[in-house]
Amino acid sequence: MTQSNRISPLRTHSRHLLVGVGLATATVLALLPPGLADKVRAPVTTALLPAQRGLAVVRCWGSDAAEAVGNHFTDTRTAAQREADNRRLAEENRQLKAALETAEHQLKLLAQRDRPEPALLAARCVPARILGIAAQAYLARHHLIDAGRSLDVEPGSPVLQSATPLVDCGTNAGVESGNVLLAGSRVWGKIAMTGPYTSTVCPVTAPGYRDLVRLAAPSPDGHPLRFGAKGILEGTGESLARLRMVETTEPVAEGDLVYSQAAQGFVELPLLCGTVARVERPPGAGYWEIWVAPAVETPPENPVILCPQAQPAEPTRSQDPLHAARSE
Amino acid sequence: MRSIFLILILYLAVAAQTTLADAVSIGSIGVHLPAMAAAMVIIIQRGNGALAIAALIGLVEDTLAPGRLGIAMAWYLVLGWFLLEGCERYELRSLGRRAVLTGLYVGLVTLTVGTTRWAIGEPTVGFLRIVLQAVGIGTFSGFVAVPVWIVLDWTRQVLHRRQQYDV
Repeated sequence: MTQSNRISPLRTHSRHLLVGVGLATATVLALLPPGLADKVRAPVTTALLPAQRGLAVVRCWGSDAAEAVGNHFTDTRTAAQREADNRRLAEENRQLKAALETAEHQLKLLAQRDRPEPALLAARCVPARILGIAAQAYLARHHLIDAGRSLDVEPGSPVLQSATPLVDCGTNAGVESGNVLLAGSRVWGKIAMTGPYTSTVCPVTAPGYRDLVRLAAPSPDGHPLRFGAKGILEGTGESLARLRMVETTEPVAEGDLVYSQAAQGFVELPLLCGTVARVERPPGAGYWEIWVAPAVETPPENPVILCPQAQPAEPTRSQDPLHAARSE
Repeated sequence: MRSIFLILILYLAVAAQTTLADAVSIGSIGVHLPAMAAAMVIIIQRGNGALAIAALIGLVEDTLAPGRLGIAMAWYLVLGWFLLEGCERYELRSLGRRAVLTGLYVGLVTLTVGTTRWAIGEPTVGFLRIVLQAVGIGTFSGFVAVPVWIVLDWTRQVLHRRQQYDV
């Protein structure tokens, strides 16, 4: 097992020198301030870009090839089903193209007019009240519930109360599932299910909550927020929500603010979801593991449901939900 | 020619770590291509130059991760030194021994770099998870190293035969 050739002392000496110089260089690099370290990083990142792009293309080809091989081995029934789907999607695609062309034409006509266009959507603010246990019990006693024999419900079956919060606004007030609930300009949760008069709420930390969010570094000196990476915020059922799909190349720190993108297009101001409470980077992982503390931890006294609606005219200041929420 | 080929392979290994590593991972355990490439360079080249290349790969890995520079470079160098000493003292013709050494080097690099970042307070996972992931990554990389070593041996045999034929 042992080799017979001996290592020359000169070679060993130069090796010790190399290790010493290498460790000294590493120590100097470790002590570099962040600005200088970024200057070292930039050329390496730039040099790797062509290969990364090339490998991404190769990966795409590999996925396509694997899919093609998988498709080749599927049975004829699946193939026929896919063929039918393909035809249906092609038809839908053709109709969408036609609709897009029409819309583009209308946009061109609108652009020709020399007047400022009103916003397409505006936010409507629906004040809501949280229904407590007594109110829910009263509703269960005096109102019909939307379940019957088709759902195997027998006479005398007990009605269990849900642990999810309930608010006193439903489809009759124009509330739809997915609408955002605010406490001031902070996000409390989303509408999970709607009935005619009531709706259930899925708070930010509850399982099933998902939202597209964006990170922002806090600015104590009053400068505008610097928005950073986007990610998916998911409720876990624990006290902290989890933020996924943020690459480790993006800068993230504890205390960073997390803003919802749910009301993008009809609310101008950013809606705060929470703050980054914990950041972890598993060895070799491509994405950060981020836990977010919600901005609204306890159910608010008077939540406001944010409903988008078509608004041909410019929304006035009183219609701005954030303004209304602040004035409360 | 050999140096250019080597640099190209290392360049692709580092680029592949940032684009393809998650495609060949099992859960959160993936293959650590730069560390594997560094181990293979040391085992094949067996010289001070190989040690310098390993340190350079460590430095490139440092630049790809947020946090302080030089941590991966130092550990690639120190562990590479031990690997080199072992390679020069013991016979490594067996494929199994080379695969085990590659996996061991990768696992130790993952463990030491992760532990150092955890110890100096950089954002990373807990110590126990670092240890478990280092064991997983080292084992997985050791298994992945087997076919890579077979291909490398085959390439070297072909090149050797062509040289003999030319002579």
